[in-house]
Amino acid sequence: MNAAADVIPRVSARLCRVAAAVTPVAAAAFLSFTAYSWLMPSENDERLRSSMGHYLGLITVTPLVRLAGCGVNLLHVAILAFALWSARALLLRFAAGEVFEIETGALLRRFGKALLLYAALIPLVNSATLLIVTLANPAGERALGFGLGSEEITLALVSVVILVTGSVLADAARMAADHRQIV
Amino acid sequence: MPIVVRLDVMLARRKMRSKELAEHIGITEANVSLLKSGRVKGVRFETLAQICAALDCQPGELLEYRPDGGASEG
Repeated sequence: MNAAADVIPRVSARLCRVAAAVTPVAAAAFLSFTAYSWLMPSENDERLRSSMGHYLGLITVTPLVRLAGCGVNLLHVAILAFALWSARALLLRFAAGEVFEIETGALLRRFGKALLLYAALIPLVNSATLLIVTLANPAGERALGFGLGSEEITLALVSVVILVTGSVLADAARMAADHRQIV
Repeated sequence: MPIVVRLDVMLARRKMRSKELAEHIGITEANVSLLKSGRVKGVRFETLAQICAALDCQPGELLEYRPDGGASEG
């Protein structure tokens, strides 16, 4: 049931449509940038080294390292792209005025889940990346590290809030739909 | 649903149209139509009381329990 079709103001609907148009571009940009930074030769090696911080000098970038690093990081960014795709579907529903709907809540929950998975995997992907870029080193110079930053924790907390909000919205919309069937 | 709504029978007996009943009890004609076809999840006591007052009948004359089902009758 499209109960809220005429509730959303025109400006908000337009904003939602613009944001919905931006999300796939952002997803494509994240994926392209990740692929570019791993697969393109030398000019990105320095950035790769600097992103590895303390392990500067230990990194050996071979074609296989590039491919493995690209694969792991692309998979990780694909989760973010999926989250953005869910956000796009959600924004399009908002633009259509479908704000207080079960499906809207489900989409918000899906966005939160994907974002939470992305945040949870950041430390693991960083560890895997470090291992990959030092794997070609001689024995004794390979590294495996684990780090948890405040940014990951903040992102995870925000994701949980989005996830819970989506669940509550879906439940509330379900109850409202139920209520509409009582005359 | 084993509850059958017999509102159309009572409307016919009282020679009243759905539109008149809807105006009388203050709900939409669409909701009266849904109620008549039994495609609702429930009826508020308030609505039931208003229907009974408008049609001069008892709730038992509007609702019937049939264990074997019969969703759309009435």
